[in-house]
Amino acid sequence: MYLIRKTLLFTIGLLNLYEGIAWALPISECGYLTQASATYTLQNDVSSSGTCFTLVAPDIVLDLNGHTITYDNGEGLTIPNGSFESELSTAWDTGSAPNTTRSAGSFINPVSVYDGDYALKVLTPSLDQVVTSVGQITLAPNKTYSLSAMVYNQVSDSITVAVQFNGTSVKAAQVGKTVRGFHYINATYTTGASTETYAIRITVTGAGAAPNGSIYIDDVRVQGHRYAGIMIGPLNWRSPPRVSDGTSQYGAAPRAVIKNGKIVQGSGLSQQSHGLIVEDQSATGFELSGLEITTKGANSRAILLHSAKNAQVHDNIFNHAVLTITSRDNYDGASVFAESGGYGTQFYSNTVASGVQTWLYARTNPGAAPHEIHHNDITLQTRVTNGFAIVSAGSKIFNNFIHCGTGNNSCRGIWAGGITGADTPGTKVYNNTVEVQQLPRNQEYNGCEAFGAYGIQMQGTNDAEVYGNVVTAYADLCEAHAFRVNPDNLPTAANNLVHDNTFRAIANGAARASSVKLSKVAPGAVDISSNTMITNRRWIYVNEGTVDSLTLTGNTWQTAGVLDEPFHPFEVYTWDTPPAHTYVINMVFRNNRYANAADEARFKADVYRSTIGWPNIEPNSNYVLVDEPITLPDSTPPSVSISSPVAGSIVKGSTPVSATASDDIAVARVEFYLDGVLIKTATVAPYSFNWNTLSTGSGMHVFSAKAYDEAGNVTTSNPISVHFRRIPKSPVITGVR
Amino acid sequence: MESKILLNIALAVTLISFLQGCRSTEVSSLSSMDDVPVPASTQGTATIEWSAPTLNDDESALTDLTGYKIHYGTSPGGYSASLDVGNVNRYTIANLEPGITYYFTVSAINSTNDESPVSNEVNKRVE
Repeated sequence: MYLIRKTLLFTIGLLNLYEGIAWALPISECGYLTQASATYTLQNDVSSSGTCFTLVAPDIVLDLNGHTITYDNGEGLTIPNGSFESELSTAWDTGSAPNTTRSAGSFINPVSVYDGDYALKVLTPSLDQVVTSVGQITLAPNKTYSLSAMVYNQVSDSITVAVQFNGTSVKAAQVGKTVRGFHYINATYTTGASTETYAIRITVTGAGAAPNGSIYIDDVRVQGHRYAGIMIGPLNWRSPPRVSDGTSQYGAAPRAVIKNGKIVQGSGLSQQSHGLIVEDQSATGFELSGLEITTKGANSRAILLHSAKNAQVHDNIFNHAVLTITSRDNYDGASVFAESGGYGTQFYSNTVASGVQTWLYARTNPGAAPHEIHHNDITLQTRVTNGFAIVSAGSKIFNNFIHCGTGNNSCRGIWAGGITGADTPGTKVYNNTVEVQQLPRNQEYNGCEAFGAYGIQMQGTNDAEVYGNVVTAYADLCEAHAFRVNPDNLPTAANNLVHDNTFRAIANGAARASSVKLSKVAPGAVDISSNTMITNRRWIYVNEGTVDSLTLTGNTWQTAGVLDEPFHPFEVYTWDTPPAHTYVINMVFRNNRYANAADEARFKADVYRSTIGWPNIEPNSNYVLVDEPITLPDSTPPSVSISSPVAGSIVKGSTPVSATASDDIAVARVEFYLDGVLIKTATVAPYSFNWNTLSTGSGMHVFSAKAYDEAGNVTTSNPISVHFRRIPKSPVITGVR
Repeated sequence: MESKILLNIALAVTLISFLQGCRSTEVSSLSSMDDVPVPASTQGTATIEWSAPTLNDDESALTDLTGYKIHYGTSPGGYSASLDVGNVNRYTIANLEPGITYYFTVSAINSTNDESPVSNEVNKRVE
């Protein structure tokens, strides 16, 4: 038996030893990593004109060992003077474009898209314009290219602006106005088995009846398409594959560990070329840490996740220097993007140096363990609307620091919920520090992003909770709002809680700012309580939809900075004339607190005033101020002491007993105890009574008292020892002899 | 170890002393109750009799009377001596000086050793 045990133990030991063997494989070139459970250690910096590493086996560790992967590092294709920084004549034939000139690009003030200050400009109305490159570019065989340009048309919907490979149908076009301003267009094309050569053709058509105006084209480029620094998982499970230069090797790579080095998008500036891609079959248990990821190409992300399941992304640095995206509504500008959400993933201790739109977009799948997004330091430089640092539903988002960095930047903070309408409930946003601002730097709207900067936005949520955050919103131009609640795209929104936050909103000059912006709030959608609202413009700003039956309880109202004169801290604003859609029904303010008497006066004057309306106030709006006494939680116990009898005294017969009690609010009752037994309760002062010592034996006895306040706080007095004395009456001498 | 033994010895001694103390008190108390002194003659003596109080000064029943004290002296109200005489109602004081008039009064003692006011005063010229 002993021998069997020893043998078993030895065998198990061997098995453990066997399982403990790791494949340690040094690597020095980009390529496929195919050995399951292997640790690949990079020996030097590596570079690839396309995709660098592809993992197709489980449990691979790729240790970059402090080295740099440069992917998409091809020489690229240069279209001579594609950014129009030089005179047109040498590179572009404008013989068929009499209305076309080269112009300083003030239309994107003060944004420059890729480089330089000039663009191609077509004055309208205009006959069709055709500009053709003088030279030709050569495309390699069996390779996918992206032909792109930036265009701007706010003149007419009848105009089409396009770039194409001359003589082919490959054309990137903008049909109609670029309603959001400057717009990125692109078309992809895969060459055949031979080299192909094309001129570039730029056309502006349909402007014959257009009003007076200008059409702009800039940054005409040809670049690669779909590469990756590291591809984790099979390439060809989707069509087209996410990388265009992979082979057909297939294999899931769950639980991959990538660590300790840099991943840099190189000079190719290809589009949709991400630093890391994790495919669905490999989305469980991966860990990405100690990486510095730099991306630059259009629509290129630092990390594209199909989803994230019990994974970790931590201690990374993100340099998301992408300047152009196709769709901000699809979050093409998100640095880390989880297409299908996932669950249980930790995103923590990352540093985000910059970003075009958003750092992290990831929702937790309904009913699953939440993602936790915490302790990240995010500097965001938003160039498009919806530029929130974190967009997530159903996750826990806490202890992050979000700001716009130094310089002329704008950013938004956290979007809790609302990714796709009725989304995962239960988002928790707490203890974050958010500093957002709105400055005139936005390529999308040539100045301000739509509706300005939001510190935290709660939209499209159920059971969300936002608490303990400190949010500052600053508007130097345009507008900024510290908190915005807009449950409109989830008509059943309910049970959302917003409490114990500080919402500070400061505007400069004519800019607009509010502590809280409300849009389309239905009864029961949200509870806003115990927050501190600080502003020099608006405490409450209602816009983009009616607010119905909202009660705000226990909030503190405070002004700061240079106030408007006159100061109207409540505003209902509508773009409709006459007002038709945005107004307030029964907004109730309860148990208000004020920073000082002046702010109390400002608050009350304007709330009462709103019932009769003022400019920009919807006449149907109805505020109700229920300025009830503030019920503070009373945690201060009363004080109590026994004033009679005096400690150490001798008492007898009927003796007065009294106590002195006081409380910061009110004493509810005083209980008297003799030797620990309750003998009397007094509810009104003076708290005293006579105690007949006859009912107690002679000797030492102890009085004490307990005082209670209405909140149930209780204090027990010091004990008082007294001597109950009874002495016999005198005997009577009846005889002596 | 040595200090522990010493401590145990000290505790034992203390315990024995305590038990002895209780015992001696008990014996003494029984003796004073039963052994009323009877003087050999009346010369140089005075015998005083009194009735016991039944109430305390607050009119409650006196239930813890434990004894009496006789105060006496050679001038009215001037009591230079006193005797604890136990729980009796008659007592003879001996060794008084003949030819001198003594003034006597009695007080009652309760269980908390509280003493009543003194009784009425009587006197006797000792023969």
